[in-house]
Amino acid sequence: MAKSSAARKLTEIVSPPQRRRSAFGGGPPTPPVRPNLPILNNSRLAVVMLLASELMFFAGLIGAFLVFRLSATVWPPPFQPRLPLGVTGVNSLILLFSALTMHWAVSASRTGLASKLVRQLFFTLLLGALFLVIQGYEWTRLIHFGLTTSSSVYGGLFYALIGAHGAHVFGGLVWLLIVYWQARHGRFTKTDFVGVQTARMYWTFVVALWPVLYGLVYLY
Amino acid sequence: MRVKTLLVIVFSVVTSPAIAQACAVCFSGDDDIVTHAFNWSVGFLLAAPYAIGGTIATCLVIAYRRAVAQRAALDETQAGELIWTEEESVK
Repeated sequence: MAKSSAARKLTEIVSPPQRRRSAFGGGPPTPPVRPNLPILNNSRLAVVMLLASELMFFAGLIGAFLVFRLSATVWPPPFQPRLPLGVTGVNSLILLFSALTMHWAVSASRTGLASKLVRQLFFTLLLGALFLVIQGYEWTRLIHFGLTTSSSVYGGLFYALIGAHGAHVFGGLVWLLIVYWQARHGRFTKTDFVGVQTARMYWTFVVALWPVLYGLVYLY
Repeated sequence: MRVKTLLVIVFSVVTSPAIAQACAVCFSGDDDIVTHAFNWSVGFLLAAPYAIGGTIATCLVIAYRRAVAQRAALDETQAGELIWTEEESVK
Protein backbone atom coordinates (compact mmCIF):
# COMPACT_ATOMS: atom_id res chain seq x y z
CA MET A 1 0.00 0.00 0.00
CA ALA A 2 2.79 2.31 1.02
CA LYS A 3 4.74 1.29 -2.04
CA SER A 4 1.89 2.04 -4.43
CA SER A 5 1.30 5.40 -2.75
CA ALA A 6 4.96 6.37 -3.15
CA ALA A 7 4.91 5.28 -6.77
CA ARG A 8 1.85 7.40 -7.42
CA LYS A 9 3.50 10.36 -5.80
CA LEU A 10 6.49 10.10 -8.11
CA THR A 11 4.64 9.57 -11.35
CA GLU A 12 1.45 11.58 -11.09
CA ILE A 13 1.10 15.31 -11.41
CA VAL A 14 -0.69 16.74 -8.39
CA SER A 15 -3.58 18.92 -9.50
CA PRO A 16 -3.86 22.48 -8.10
CA PRO A 17 -7.12 22.00 -6.04
CA GLN A 18 -5.64 19.01 -4.12
CA ARG A 19 -2.55 20.99 -3.40
CA ARG A 20 -4.53 23.85 -1.97
CA ARG A 21 -6.46 21.55 0.34
CA SER A 22 -3.39 19.75 1.63
CA ALA A 23 -1.56 22.98 2.29
CA PHE A 24 -4.47 24.43 4.22
CA GLY A 25 -3.34 25.46 7.67
CA GLY A 26 0.24 24.42 6.93
CA GLY A 27 1.43 27.46 5.05
CA PRO A 28 0.76 29.12 1.72
CA PRO A 29 -0.38 27.00 -1.21
CA THR A 30 2.39 25.79 -3.48
CA PRO A 31 2.29 26.24 -7.26
CA PRO A 32 1.21 23.21 -9.31
CA VAL A 33 3.91 20.79 -10.43
CA ARG A 34 4.35 20.79 -14.21
CA PRO A 35 6.41 18.32 -16.22
CA ASN A 36 9.55 19.73 -17.85
CA LEU A 37 9.04 20.81 -21.44
CA PRO A 38 11.67 20.04 -24.12
CA ILE A 39 13.81 23.07 -24.96
CA LEU A 40 13.51 22.30 -28.65
CA ASN A 41 10.70 20.69 -30.57
CA ASN A 42 11.56 17.13 -31.67
CA SER A 43 10.87 17.93 -35.32
CA ARG A 44 13.21 20.91 -35.23
CA LEU A 45 15.90 18.85 -33.49
CA ALA A 46 15.59 16.21 -36.23
CA VAL A 47 16.04 18.88 -38.90
CA VAL A 48 19.11 20.20 -37.05
CA MET A 49 20.63 16.69 -37.20
CA LEU A 50 19.72 16.39 -40.89
CA LEU A 51 21.33 19.75 -41.65
CA ALA A 52 24.49 18.80 -39.72
CA SER A 53 24.90 15.69 -41.89
CA GLU A 54 24.14 17.71 -45.04
CA LEU A 55 26.81 20.22 -44.06
CA MET A 56 29.36 17.44 -43.70
CA PHE A 57 28.37 16.10 -47.11
CA PHE A 58 28.99 19.50 -48.69
CA ALA A 59 32.19 19.92 -46.64
CA GLY A 60 33.48 16.72 -48.29
CA LEU A 61 32.66 18.06 -51.76
CA ILE A 62 34.26 21.43 -50.98
CA GLY A 63 37.35 19.62 -49.63
CA ALA A 64 37.69 17.74 -52.92
CA PHE A 65 37.23 20.99 -54.85
CA LEU A 66 39.96 22.69 -52.78
CA VAL A 67 42.46 19.93 -53.55
CA PHE A 68 42.00 20.31 -57.32
CA ARG A 69 41.56 24.07 -57.34
CA LEU A 70 44.60 24.89 -55.18
CA SER A 71 46.86 22.41 -56.92
CA ALA A 72 46.03 23.80 -60.38
CA THR A 73 48.32 26.43 -61.82
CA VAL A 74 45.74 27.50 -64.43
CA TRP A 75 42.07 27.61 -63.47
CA PRO A 76 39.74 27.11 -65.30
CA PRO A 77 41.74 24.67 -67.45
CA PRO A 78 42.46 25.71 -71.05
CA PHE A 79 39.79 25.09 -73.73
CA GLN A 80 37.01 24.99 -71.15
CA PRO A 81 34.08 27.45 -71.22
CA ARG A 82 33.91 30.20 -68.59
CA LEU A 83 31.03 30.15 -66.15
CA PRO A 84 28.26 32.77 -66.51
CA LEU A 85 28.96 35.13 -63.60
CA GLY A 86 26.38 37.82 -64.31
CA VAL A 87 23.30 35.66 -64.82
CA THR A 88 24.20 33.45 -61.86
CA GLY A 89 24.79 36.57 -59.74
CA VAL A 90 21.25 37.76 -60.47
CA ASN A 91 20.02 34.23 -59.84
CA SER A 92 21.75 34.34 -56.44
CA LEU A 93 19.81 37.49 -55.56
CA ILE A 94 16.57 35.69 -56.48
CA LEU A 95 17.45 32.82 -54.15
CA LEU A 96 18.46 35.20 -51.35
CA PHE A 97 15.15 37.03 -51.72
CA SER A 98 13.30 33.72 -51.37
CA ALA A 99 14.85 33.34 -47.90
CA LEU A 100 13.30 36.70 -47.01
CA THR A 101 9.82 35.65 -48.20
CA MET A 102 10.20 32.43 -46.21
CA HIS A 103 11.05 34.50 -43.14
CA TRP A 104 7.91 36.59 -43.72
CA ALA A 105 5.91 33.35 -43.99
CA VAL A 106 7.07 32.27 -40.52
CA SER A 107 6.29 35.74 -39.14
CA ALA A 108 2.80 35.52 -40.66
CA SER A 109 2.16 32.12 -39.07
CA ARG A 110 3.41 33.43 -35.72
CA THR A 111 0.88 36.26 -35.84
CA GLY A 112 -1.87 33.96 -37.15
CA LEU A 113 -2.24 35.59 -40.58
CA ALA A 114 -3.18 32.52 -42.63
CA SER A 115 -3.69 34.28 -45.96
CA LYS A 116 -0.32 36.06 -45.69
CA LEU A 117 1.34 32.74 -44.82
CA VAL A 118 -0.07 31.09 -47.95
CA ARG A 119 0.94 34.09 -50.09
CA GLN A 120 4.51 34.20 -48.80
CA LEU A 121 4.93 30.44 -49.19
CA PHE A 122 3.73 30.78 -52.77
CA PHE A 123 6.29 33.55 -53.45
CA THR A 124 9.05 31.39 -51.93
CA LEU A 125 8.05 28.49 -54.14
CA LEU A 126 7.96 30.73 -57.18
CA LEU A 127 11.41 32.24 -56.52
CA GLY A 128 12.93 28.82 -55.79
CA ALA A 129 11.49 27.38 -59.00
CA LEU A 130 12.74 30.40 -60.95
CA PHE A 131 16.24 29.82 -59.56
CA LEU A 132 16.16 26.20 -60.69
CA VAL A 133 14.85 27.09 -64.16
CA ILE A 134 17.61 29.66 -64.71
CA GLN A 135 20.23 27.20 -63.43
CA GLY A 136 18.89 24.51 -65.78
CA TYR A 137 19.00 26.91 -68.72
CA GLU A 138 22.63 27.83 -67.92
CA TRP A 139 23.55 24.17 -67.60
CA THR A 140 22.18 23.35 -71.04
CA ARG A 141 24.22 26.22 -72.48
CA LEU A 142 27.37 25.03 -70.70
CA ILE A 143 26.87 21.47 -71.96
CA HIS A 144 26.40 22.90 -75.46
CA PHE A 145 29.72 24.77 -75.08
CA GLY A 146 31.48 21.53 -74.08
CA LEU A 147 31.53 21.58 -70.29
CA THR A 148 30.51 18.07 -69.26
CA THR A 149 31.33 15.81 -66.32
CA SER A 150 33.87 13.94 -68.45
CA SER A 151 35.40 16.95 -70.21
CA SER A 152 37.76 17.75 -67.31
CA VAL A 153 38.09 17.79 -63.53
CA TYR A 154 36.72 21.33 -63.74
CA GLY A 155 33.48 20.11 -65.30
CA GLY A 156 33.22 17.17 -62.94
CA LEU A 157 33.63 19.35 -59.86
CA PHE A 158 31.25 21.98 -61.20
CA TYR A 159 28.44 19.51 -61.82
CA ALA A 160 29.09 17.65 -58.55
CA LEU A 161 28.98 20.76 -56.35
CA ILE A 162 26.36 22.84 -58.15
CA GLY A 163 24.35 19.74 -59.06
CA ALA A 164 24.23 18.59 -55.44
CA HIS A 165 23.01 22.03 -54.44
CA GLY A 166 20.44 22.03 -57.23
CA ALA A 167 19.16 18.65 -56.02
CA HIS A 168 18.80 20.10 -52.54
CA VAL A 169 16.91 23.11 -53.88
CA PHE A 170 14.57 20.71 -55.66
CA GLY A 171 14.10 18.76 -52.40
CA GLY A 172 13.38 22.03 -50.61
CA LEU A 173 10.78 22.93 -53.23
CA VAL A 174 9.00 19.59 -52.73
CA TRP A 175 9.05 20.21 -48.97
CA LEU A 176 7.71 23.75 -49.47
CA LEU A 177 5.00 22.46 -51.79
CA ILE A 178 3.76 20.10 -49.06
CA VAL A 179 3.83 22.91 -46.47
CA TYR A 180 2.03 25.21 -48.94
CA TRP A 181 -0.68 22.60 -49.48
CA GLN A 182 -1.06 22.16 -45.71
CA ALA A 183 -1.22 25.92 -45.17
CA ARG A 184 -3.95 26.25 -47.80
CA HIS A 185 -5.99 23.64 -45.93
CA GLY A 186 -5.63 25.46 -42.62
CA ARG A 187 -3.20 23.01 -41.04
CA PHE A 188 -1.21 25.67 -39.17
CA THR A 189 -2.38 27.82 -36.28
CA LYS A 190 -0.88 30.67 -34.29
CA THR A 191 0.51 28.22 -31.72
CA ASP A 192 1.21 25.20 -33.93
CA PHE A 193 3.29 25.96 -37.00
CA VAL A 194 6.30 23.71 -36.56
CA GLY A 195 5.91 22.47 -40.15
CA VAL A 196 6.56 25.99 -41.45
CA GLN A 197 9.49 26.41 -39.06
CA THR A 198 11.21 23.19 -40.16
CA ALA A 199 10.69 24.08 -43.83
CA ARG A 200 12.21 27.49 -43.12
CA MET A 201 15.23 25.87 -41.44
CA TYR A 202 15.92 23.68 -44.47
CA TRP A 203 15.31 26.47 -46.95
CA THR A 204 17.62 28.83 -45.02
CA PHE A 205 20.34 26.17 -45.18
CA VAL A 206 19.92 25.79 -48.93
CA VAL A 207 19.98 29.56 -49.46
CA ALA A 208 22.91 30.21 -47.08
CA LEU A 209 24.98 27.52 -48.75
CA TRP A 210 24.60 29.04 -52.21
CA PRO A 211 26.78 32.20 -51.73
CA VAL A 212 29.58 29.95 -50.43
CA LEU A 213 29.37 27.70 -53.50
CA TYR A 214 28.99 30.66 -55.86
CA GLY A 215 32.06 32.34 -54.40
CA LEU A 216 34.07 29.13 -54.48
CA VAL A 217 33.10 27.69 -57.87
CA TYR A 218 32.25 30.79 -59.91
CA LEU A 219 34.44 33.57 -58.47
CA TYR A 220 37.51 31.87 -56.95
CA MET B 1 84.00 -8.08 -47.42
CA ARG B 2 81.88 -8.71 -50.52
CA VAL B 3 78.85 -9.51 -48.40
CA LYS B 4 79.38 -6.34 -46.39
CA THR B 5 79.60 -4.23 -49.55
CA LEU B 6 76.51 -5.89 -50.97
CA LEU B 7 74.59 -5.18 -47.76
CA VAL B 8 75.57 -1.50 -47.85
CA ILE B 9 74.43 -1.22 -51.47
CA VAL B 10 71.11 -2.98 -50.80
CA PHE B 11 70.50 -0.88 -47.67
CA SER B 12 71.21 2.41 -49.44
CA VAL B 13 68.95 1.47 -52.36
CA VAL B 14 66.06 0.33 -50.15
CA THR B 15 66.18 3.40 -47.92
CA SER B 16 66.51 5.95 -50.69
CA PRO B 17 63.69 8.55 -50.41
CA ALA B 18 62.04 7.67 -53.69
CA ILE B 19 61.66 3.97 -52.84
CA ALA B 20 61.00 4.23 -49.10
CA GLN B 21 57.80 6.15 -49.64
CA ALA B 22 55.50 5.16 -46.81
CA CYS B 23 52.74 7.71 -47.36
CA ALA B 24 50.41 7.15 -50.32
CA VAL B 25 49.77 10.85 -50.88
CA CYS B 26 53.24 12.20 -49.98
CA PHE B 27 54.34 12.43 -53.59
CA SER B 28 55.24 16.11 -53.51
CA GLY B 29 57.87 18.19 -51.82
CA ASP B 30 57.49 20.44 -48.81
CA ASP B 31 56.83 23.61 -50.79
CA ASP B 32 54.91 21.99 -53.58
CA ILE B 33 51.57 23.44 -54.66
CA VAL B 34 49.89 20.02 -54.33
CA THR B 35 51.07 19.75 -50.71
CA HIS B 36 49.52 23.13 -49.93
CA ALA B 37 46.29 22.08 -51.62
CA PHE B 38 46.10 18.90 -49.55
CA ASN B 39 46.95 20.80 -46.36
CA TRP B 40 44.17 23.33 -46.90
CA SER B 41 41.66 20.64 -47.76
CA VAL B 42 42.56 18.48 -44.76
CA GLY B 43 42.54 21.53 -42.47
CA PHE B 44 39.10 22.52 -43.76
CA LEU B 45 37.70 19.03 -43.27
CA LEU B 46 39.23 18.82 -39.79
CA ALA B 47 37.65 22.11 -38.74
CA ALA B 48 34.21 21.42 -40.25
CA PRO B 49 32.84 18.96 -37.62
CA TYR B 50 34.01 21.17 -34.76
CA ALA B 51 32.46 24.26 -36.35
CA ILE B 52 29.15 22.45 -37.00
CA GLY B 53 29.05 20.81 -33.55
CA GLY B 54 30.00 24.06 -31.85
CA THR B 55 27.28 25.99 -33.67
CA ILE B 56 24.62 23.41 -32.76
CA ALA B 57 25.78 23.32 -29.11
CA THR B 58 25.66 27.14 -28.91
CA CYS B 59 22.15 27.20 -30.39
CA LEU B 60 20.99 24.54 -27.91
CA VAL B 61 22.46 26.46 -24.96
CA ILE B 62 20.71 29.65 -26.10
CA ALA B 63 17.42 27.74 -26.56
CA TYR B 64 17.82 26.16 -23.10
CA ARG B 65 18.42 29.52 -21.40
CA ARG B 66 15.46 31.04 -23.20
CA ALA B 67 13.23 28.10 -22.15
CA VAL B 68 14.35 28.42 -18.52
CA ALA B 69 13.58 32.16 -18.54
CA GLN B 70 10.14 31.53 -20.10
CA ARG B 71 9.41 28.79 -17.59
CA ALA B 72 10.39 31.02 -14.67
CA ALA B 73 8.17 33.83 -15.96
CA LEU B 74 5.27 31.39 -16.42
CA ASP B 75 5.69 29.90 -12.93
CA GLU B 76 5.71 33.34 -11.39
CA THR B 77 2.46 34.27 -13.12
CA GLN B 78 0.70 31.01 -12.21
CA ALA B 79 1.81 31.10 -8.54
CA GLY B 80 0.35 34.59 -8.19
CA GLU B 81 -2.96 33.43 -9.63
CA LEU B 82 -3.15 30.47 -7.27
CA ILE B 83 -2.36 32.37 -4.10
CA TRP B 84 -4.65 35.30 -4.67
CA THR B 85 -7.86 33.51 -5.66
CA GLU B 86 -11.10 35.01 -4.45
CA GLU B 87 -12.13 31.78 -2.70
CA GLU B 88 -9.04 31.66 -0.50
CA SER B 89 -9.01 35.33 0.35
CA VAL B 90 -12.53 34.91 1.79
CA LYS B 91 -11.42 31.98 3.93
